[in-house]
Amino acid sequence: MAPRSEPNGFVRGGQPRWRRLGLLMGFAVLGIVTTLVIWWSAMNDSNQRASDSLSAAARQIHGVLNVRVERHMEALRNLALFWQLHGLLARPAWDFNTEMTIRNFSGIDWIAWVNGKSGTYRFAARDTAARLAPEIIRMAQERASAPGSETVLGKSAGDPVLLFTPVRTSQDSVGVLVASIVPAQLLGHENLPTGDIIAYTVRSDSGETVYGWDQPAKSVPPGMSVEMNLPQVFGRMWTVRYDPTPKYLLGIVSRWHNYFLLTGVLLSFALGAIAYQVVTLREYSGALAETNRRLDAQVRELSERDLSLRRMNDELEQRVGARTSQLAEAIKELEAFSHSMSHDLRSPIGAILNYTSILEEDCGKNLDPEGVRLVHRIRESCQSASRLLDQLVQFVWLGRETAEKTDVNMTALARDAFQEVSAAPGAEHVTFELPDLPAVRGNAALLGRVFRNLLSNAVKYTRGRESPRISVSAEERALETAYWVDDNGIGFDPAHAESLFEPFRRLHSSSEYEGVGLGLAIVAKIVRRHGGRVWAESQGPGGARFGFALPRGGEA
Amino acid sequence: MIPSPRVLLLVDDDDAHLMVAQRAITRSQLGVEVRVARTGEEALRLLGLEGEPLSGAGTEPVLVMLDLWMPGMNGWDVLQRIRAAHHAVPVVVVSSSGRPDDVRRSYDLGANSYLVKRYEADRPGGYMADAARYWVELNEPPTPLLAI
Repeated sequence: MAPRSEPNGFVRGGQPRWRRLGLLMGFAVLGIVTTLVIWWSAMNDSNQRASDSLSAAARQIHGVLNVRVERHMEALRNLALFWQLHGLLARPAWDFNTEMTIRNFSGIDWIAWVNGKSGTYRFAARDTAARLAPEIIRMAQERASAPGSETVLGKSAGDPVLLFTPVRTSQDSVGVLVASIVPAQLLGHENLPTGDIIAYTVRSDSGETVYGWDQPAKSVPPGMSVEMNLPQVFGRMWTVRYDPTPKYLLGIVSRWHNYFLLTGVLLSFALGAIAYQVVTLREYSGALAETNRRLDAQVRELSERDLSLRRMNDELEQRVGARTSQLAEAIKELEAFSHSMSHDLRSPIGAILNYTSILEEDCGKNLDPEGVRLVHRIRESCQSASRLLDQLVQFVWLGRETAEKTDVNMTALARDAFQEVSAAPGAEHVTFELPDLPAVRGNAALLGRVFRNLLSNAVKYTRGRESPRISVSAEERALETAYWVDDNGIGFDPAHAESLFEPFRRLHSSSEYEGVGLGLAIVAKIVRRHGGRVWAESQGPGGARFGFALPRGGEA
Repeated sequence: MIPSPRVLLLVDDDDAHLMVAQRAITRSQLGVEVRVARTGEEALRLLGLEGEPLSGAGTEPVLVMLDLWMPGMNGWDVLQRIRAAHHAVPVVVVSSSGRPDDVRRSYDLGANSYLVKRYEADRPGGYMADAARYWVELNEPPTPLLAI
C-alpha cells in the first residue's frame, strides 16, 4: 500500500487494517488452541487418574459385596442340603439350626419350610412377632415341583427379596425352603468404603433394580463407570454398576482447570491485542520517522530561505543606506549651491546697484536724460534679479526648515497679509472682504506667506480694474478645511490651471505684471508640507479663484 | 578738551558696498571716523589682535560692521577672535545671506545685531547709517558737564 498523506501531514503506511486484525485473530486462535490442547490433555489425564482410582475403589467394594452374597447363598444352600440329607430334624433342632443361620447372616430376615402337598410349614424369623403370610405359603406350594431355585424380587428396589428352593426331605415329602433377604442388609453401604464418591446399583439380569446407593452423576465421563457381576443368587445373575457421584466429579474437575482455560483464552486475546498494537506502533513509528525526516528537511529549507531573506534584507538596507546618503549628499550640495548662489550672485547684483547709486550721486548732473533713464533701467533689472534670487532661496529653504505647529488664527493672518500687500502703490482702492475664518493647526509664518503670496497676486492682477475686489472665504469639511482667495482680476486660461503652481511658470509677461513666477510654487510647497492640497479655478476673464485645503486635527 | 577720534570699523570685501556704506555713514554726521578693512586679517590687525599692527591700530572702535563671506578668514572667524580677546565692542554682522542658520550662528558667536544687505534706491546705504547711528549713540560716553 502506498503511503498516503493525511491532512495534518502525518504519513501512514504499511499494512492495512484487515491484515493487522488478521494478526490479532491469528494470535488469539493460536493461543486458544494451545490452551485447549493443554486443558484437554490435563482433563484427560485427570479423568484417567480419577477413573483408575474409582475402579480401584469399586473393586474393593465389590470384593466385600461378593463375599457377603457368596456366604449368604452358601449358608442357605448348606441348610437346604442338610435337610435333604438328614431330613427336617426334630423341631427344636430345626429351630436352633435356622435361628443360628439367621443370627449369623444379617441379610436374612426369616427362613421358612413349606410342605408342598399339605401346606404345613415351619417358620423362624429375626422378629419373633413376624408370621408367615398365607400368600407366601401358596407361592411356595406352587414351586414345590419346580426343577430349581427361584428368586422373587419385591415390588420396588430395596423391598425384601424372596428365595425359593425345593427340598426333598424324604421319599414322598417335597417341601420348599423360603428365605427373605433384606437388600439393605445384604448389599447396604454400611461398612463399605464408598466415601461419598461412589454410587452403585445392583440389578437383576431380568432388569429390575434390587438395590441402589447414592445418586450417580447425571453425565459420567466415558470409562469411569464399572460393571461387575455378583455370584449367582438362586438362578439369577445380579450385576453391580459403580458410578462416580457428582461430588466426586466436582472434586476431580477442579476450579483450576476452568481458571486455566479462562486465563489462557484471555491471555490469547491479550497477546493478539499486544501484537496488533506492536505492529501498529511500529507502523506509526515508521510513519513518524518519515514525517520527522520531512519536517527536518522543511525546517532546513525554511532556515535557508530565512538566511537568504536576511541576506537580501541586509543588501536592501545597505542599498537604501547608500541611496539615502547619496540623497543627503545631493541635498547638501543643493543647499551649498543655493547658498553660494544667494551670495555669489547677490553680491555682484548688489555691487551693480551700489555702483549705480554712486554713479547717480557723483555724475548725475553730467548725465543727459537718456543716461538717467538707462541708469534707472540698470537699477530695475538688478532689482528684479535680486527679487528672483530672494524667492529662489526662499523656495529652496522651505523644504529644510523645521516648522513648529500651533493653532493658527487664519483670520488675523489673512488680515495682516492683506495690509502688507496693499501697501504697494495702486492697491488703495481694493475692496477686501474677510469673514471669520476657521482656525487651523500649522506653522503661522509659513501660512502667513501663503496668504501674502495669494493676496499679492490678487492685488497685482486686479490693478487695472474699475472696482477691484478681493475676498477670502473658508469652509469646514469632514477631513479638511478649505480656504479660497477670490478676485475680479484678469483671470487665467483654465487650460493652465494645473501648471500655475509649477516654479517659474508665469502666464503674463513681467513687463505687464512684475514677479518672478515663484509665488504660487511657494504656496503649493507650503500647503503640501502641511499635508494639504492646492488648486486654481478660473472665472474666465471675470477673475480667479485660488483654493487650498489643510487637514483638520493637526495632522502632517 | 580735545575728544579722541572715535572710530567705526567697516569690514567687507565688496568695494561697492564699502563705498555706499561709507558715504551714507559719513553723510549722517555721527562724528565717527570710518575705517575700512577688506579682509578679516586686516580687520584683526587694525584691532591690534593679530599680526603686525597697522597705523592707528589699538584704537578701540565704537562699532564693527562685519561682512560674513570674505576670501580667507570669514566674518565668524573674526567675530570669534574679537570675543575671545574679551572685546565688548558692538559687532553688527552685515551679510547678503538671510539664512536662519547663518543668523543663528552669528548671534551664537556674539554678534549684537544682524543686517541683511539690501538695496534702497531712494536712500542707498541708509539702513547701514541707521544701524550705525543706533549703536554709536547707544555707546556715547557721557558728555562731560564742562563741555556744555
